[in-house]
Parts: sequence; C-alpha cells; structure tokens
Amino acid sequence: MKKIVILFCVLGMTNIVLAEEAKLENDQTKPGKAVGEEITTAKPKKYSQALAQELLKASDDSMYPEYFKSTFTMVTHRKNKKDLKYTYLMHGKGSNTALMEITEPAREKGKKILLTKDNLWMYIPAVSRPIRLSRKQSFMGSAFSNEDLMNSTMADDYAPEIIDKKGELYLLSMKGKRRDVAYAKIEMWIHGKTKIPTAATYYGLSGKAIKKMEFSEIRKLAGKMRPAKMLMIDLLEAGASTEVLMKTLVKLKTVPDYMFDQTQLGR
Amino acid sequence: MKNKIIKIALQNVIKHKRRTLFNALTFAANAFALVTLIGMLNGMYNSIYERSIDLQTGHFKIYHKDYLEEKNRMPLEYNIDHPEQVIADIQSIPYFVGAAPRIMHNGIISNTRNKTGIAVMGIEMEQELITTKLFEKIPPPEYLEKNQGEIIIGRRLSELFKTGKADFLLFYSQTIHKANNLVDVVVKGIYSIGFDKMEKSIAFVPLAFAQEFFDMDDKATEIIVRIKDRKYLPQAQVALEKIIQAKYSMLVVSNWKQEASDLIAGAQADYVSYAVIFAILLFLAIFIIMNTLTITVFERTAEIGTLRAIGLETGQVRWMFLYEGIFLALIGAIIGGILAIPMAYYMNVVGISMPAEFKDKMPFPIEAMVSKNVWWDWVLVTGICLVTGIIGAILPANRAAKIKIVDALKKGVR
Repeated sequence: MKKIVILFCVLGMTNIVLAEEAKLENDQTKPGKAVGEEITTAKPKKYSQALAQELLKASDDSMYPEYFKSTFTMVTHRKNKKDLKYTYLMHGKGSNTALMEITEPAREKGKKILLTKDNLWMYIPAVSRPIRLSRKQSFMGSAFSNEDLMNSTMADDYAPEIIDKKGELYLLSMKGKRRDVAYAKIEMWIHGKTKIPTAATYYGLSGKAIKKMEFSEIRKLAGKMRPAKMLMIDLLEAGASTEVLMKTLVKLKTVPDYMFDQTQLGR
Repeated sequence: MKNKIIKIALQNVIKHKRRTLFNALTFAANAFALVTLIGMLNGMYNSIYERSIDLQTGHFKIYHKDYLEEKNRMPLEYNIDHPEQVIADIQSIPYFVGAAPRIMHNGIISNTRNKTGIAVMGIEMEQELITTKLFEKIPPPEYLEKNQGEIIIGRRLSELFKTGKADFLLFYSQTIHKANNLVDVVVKGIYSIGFDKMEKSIAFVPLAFAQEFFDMDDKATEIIVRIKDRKYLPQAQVALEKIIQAKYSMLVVSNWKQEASDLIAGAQADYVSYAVIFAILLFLAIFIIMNTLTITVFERTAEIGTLRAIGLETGQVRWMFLYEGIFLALIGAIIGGILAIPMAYYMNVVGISMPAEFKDKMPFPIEAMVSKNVWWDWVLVTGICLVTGIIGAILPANRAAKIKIVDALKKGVR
C-alpha cells in the first residue's frame, strides 16, 4: 500500500518545479543530455542531513496508515487513444503488501492484483491460477510500472540530501543506496511543514528523467492530511499520463493475512 | 505364360489409344503435381530453415545452463562471463565459420511522441557480419561502432516512428540489477529483411554499449555460432559440446533444431496437411482408374469370355487387368515426370518472388519460393503412381476374373 503512497509522492510537483521541468523536458529531446544532471546544480551543503532524513521518513509515513482500506480510481490518458479508467478497492498492510480488486468497469470486475514484498500477482476470474507479473510491465496499461507499485519504503533504499529550497518546499535528491534500487535517483519536492511530497522526478542510471509524479488535492484522509490525487507523467510518450484519485481511505485495526495469500485470490 | 499375359496387357493398352491417353493423363497430372509440390514444399522449408539460421538461430547457440528454462523473459542474470574467451576456445571445432557474443533483452524504444516494446540485441558488429546475415543489405557506413550510443532499427519500426538515420531515440530498460535506465541512442542504420514482425520488434546496439547500459561488464547472454553447412551439424556439435563440457561447466549448447523447434513442428504439421491433399489427389486417381477399367471390363466381356474359353485362367485374367493398370500408371508417371522437368528446373533455379504481403505471414521471411527437387522425388512419385494404378485396377480385375465364360460368350465378340 505504501507503494501507492510513494507514487503519489512522486507525482506532486509544484508550479515552480513544473516550470523548471518544462524546460528540462525540452532539453531531454536533445541527445546525450542527462536531464537529472541539469536540475541538481552543485551547491554547498547548507541543509542538514538530519533534516533530509526527517523529511524523507515523514514523507514515507504520511502516505498510508499501517492497515487500511481504500477506494481509488485510476485514469490513463494517451494521445489519440481512449482513456482507460478503473476503480479499485484496496486493502493494505504494512509498507509493501496490498490487495487491489477492480470494481469498475463491470467487464473487468473481480480481477485482483496482489502486491507482496517481491512479487506482484494478477488474478483473473476466468483463469484458475494467478499470473505473476513482470516488474517492468506497465500496471494495467497505465504510466505506472508494476515496479512503481512494488517500491518499498524509500528511506530504506535511498540516501537523501536537500539540494534546494523554494519557499516552504525542499528539494530532496535521493540517490540509490544499492545498484538494485528501481531508480538510481529520485528528486522530490516536500513541503517543510506538512511533510507531504508535492512532486517527484525519477531518473534512470544514465541520469535521464524517466517519469514525473505530481501530488495534489491535499485533504484529510484517515485522520491525516494526505494527497488525494497523483499524476504520473510518462516521459517516454508525449501526452501519456495516469491520474490516481483517492476517493476513500479508512484506517483499519488489522487486515487478515489470508487476503494477501496468492493461493486464496480466487476466493 | 506370365510374359504372354504382360504382352496381352501391353497390347490392350496400345490398342485402346484414347482410353490409354485419358488414363495416362490422369496419372501424368498427378505425377506433375506431386513432383512440383514436393519440390516446392522442400524448397520452402529449406529456405525457411536456412533463413532462420542466417537471421536468428545460427547453427548453434551457447547459453548459461539456467538461461534456457527462462528464455522467454530474456534473463540477464544467467549470462556468459568473458564470451570472447569462449569464442577463442571453440574456433577449433570442425567447419567453424564464426561466432559472436550477444546480449538480448527487452525494453522500450521511444521517439518521445510514441513508444513501443522492443527486443534489443547488443552485438559485436564485425563478428556478427561473419556469423549472421542480418546486415547483408546494410552499407558499411551504417555499421555500429564499438561503445557508441548507436542503434540499428528495422525498416518497419522506422516507418512507424517516422524516424530516419541520424535521428535520436530513447531506449528504456532495466539493468541486470533491475534498476531502470534510459539513454539516448542515434539511429545509425536501418535494416530490412522483408519481415515486418522482426523489423518492428528487434533493434541492435553495440555490445559494449549494451554491457554498460545493462550494467554487465564483459558478459553476454548468448554466443551464436555458425558452421559451414547444417549437414555438418552432428560432427560440429560433438566437438563443440566436448569443449564446453571440459572448460565451461556452466554453459550449454543448443543447436538450430532445438532453437527453431516451433518452426520445425510447424513445418511438420504443414507436411501432414499437404499429405492429406496429396492423398485426396491419389484417391481421385484411384477412382478414375477404377472407373475406366471397370468400363473396360464391361466393354470387353465377350473378349474376356473368349480368352477364358481358349484356356486363360481366372488368375491370369486378373493379372492381365492389373498389368494394364500398372502400364497406364507407368506411362502417366513418365509423361508427368517429363512434363515436370522444365517446371522443376525453373522453380529450382529461378523460383518465384514472394509477394510482400505474403512474406510477413510466413514463419520466416524468404525472398523467393525456390523449389528443392532431388532425383528421388521422381522415383517416389513413380512408385506412388504404380501403387495407385494397382489399387485402382484390383476391383475391375476381380470383376473380370469372375465373369462366367458362357455369359461372356453370349454377348458375342465385337
């Protein structure tokens, strides 16, 4: 579940950042330029490492309660193609376990997607066994990859550093601690007071930006201020984006383990 | 007496010229069709196999032993360390022509307006030119250079993306450690093999560039090996496996038949389908010969009665008609076989160009339909015609043998 939170975090870019990114997007069409290198202008370290860690941890924590139930819609836009719209009912537990069930459209109803620590499974009612999905694959035709949903808590995987501040917004540059993290670098704007991410850009190993995420519609969900809307922009395809809108989020006391057992998906 | 029966049968065949002509033409048409179709089928599948070897499978491929089980997902983690060392070691196998290391993995290619899934192959251009025929139509200036961010894409992809040489594309995939990566690549060349599916879905980058992109230094996911001809496969495989087993216990050898097993299974299924068509042709021939010989029996009832009256036994009458069937089949097979020679020559030497729309429907692209006939085809077809003639003659021959002398003579000799 936290994975979805992470997605929200990555999407929330401020207007300032958007302006900068528009420039960067133009640059990205030029060969050999690593967009990421341009926005991370080397500056003397004037922000403490402790603050960076605190912001990242708070951002991680701000996304979802430990146990929860949520409904959200996911709309994918692609140029010259009909929008893909799904509504999900999601149960989550901890930072990397969630079960999503499609409730709309009717023809897709009953399909389930199970996220566990290392795997992602899809259950289709007409097929007896759940299908294991590849990490790289697009999630239900959206701008999210399956791996985006599988990201664990960012504080575990990334070393943060504050590299800029504009108003109340801090720009956190997070470099992967290991070679096996999904993105070599993530840059995230986080509001200093609310500790809620507003935007993020994901970079590949080469330093080129792959995706951007914007967070908006901050409102009270499950007793806490959280971003209700996330927009993932696919930089590989002009006009391709996926919008996730959280409709409800309810904190639960617990969620039974069997819900996250892939052998029980058909029940 | 046997010779006399054969002589009478032959005389009957010569005497009834028109009937003989029609029956023989039936066999001739079958023989012609069979020789031509057998040649075309053999030629088509031979071309497809050779093309598959040229473009995809090579004669052998060498993989990490765990790679084959998960080949469809093109796993980077099951790789070959220092492939150049392996290639140096296997050059001693008989009929060796060349070997090339490759990294094969899937990813996404984008021109920022559109994107599509693609399989990208990291190649050593020089070695690939010796080992495969993928780039035989590409001029040297379009060859990939070592460690450059260059890509050769298929004609079809370039059309879909409206991308030409020197244009830039984005290539996205994941490294061996599952980290996302994205780079710019410049289109160095555009390959065309007349096979849309492949031209749309496979692109080539320099091996060193792929190694860097996928974060796998001095590694390859496969080595493709070419020998002089596929007929030397058994000897070469024994030698190759001996070297691999002795020095590289983590590696395995897969020959082109294993690599193209789906293609071969498809070809075998096709052969069965065509065999059914041949069987229908032969059934028609049997039916025609049976029909005409039965009519002959009715026409020659009095003649049969006379022969029986002067001492010919039922068995001899039966054999007389069977020999007639054999002669008709033989004449037909000879005529058909001779008529098929110019056609077979043309198809074996020149062939027919494949229409573009048909090429893409084939399991592997071939430029022209070229037959592959061998002398054995004519022998086989003659044998089939003879068997057909005999089967077709059995029923009329039995009918003729059962005719009673008195009843036959009542009809009077015409």
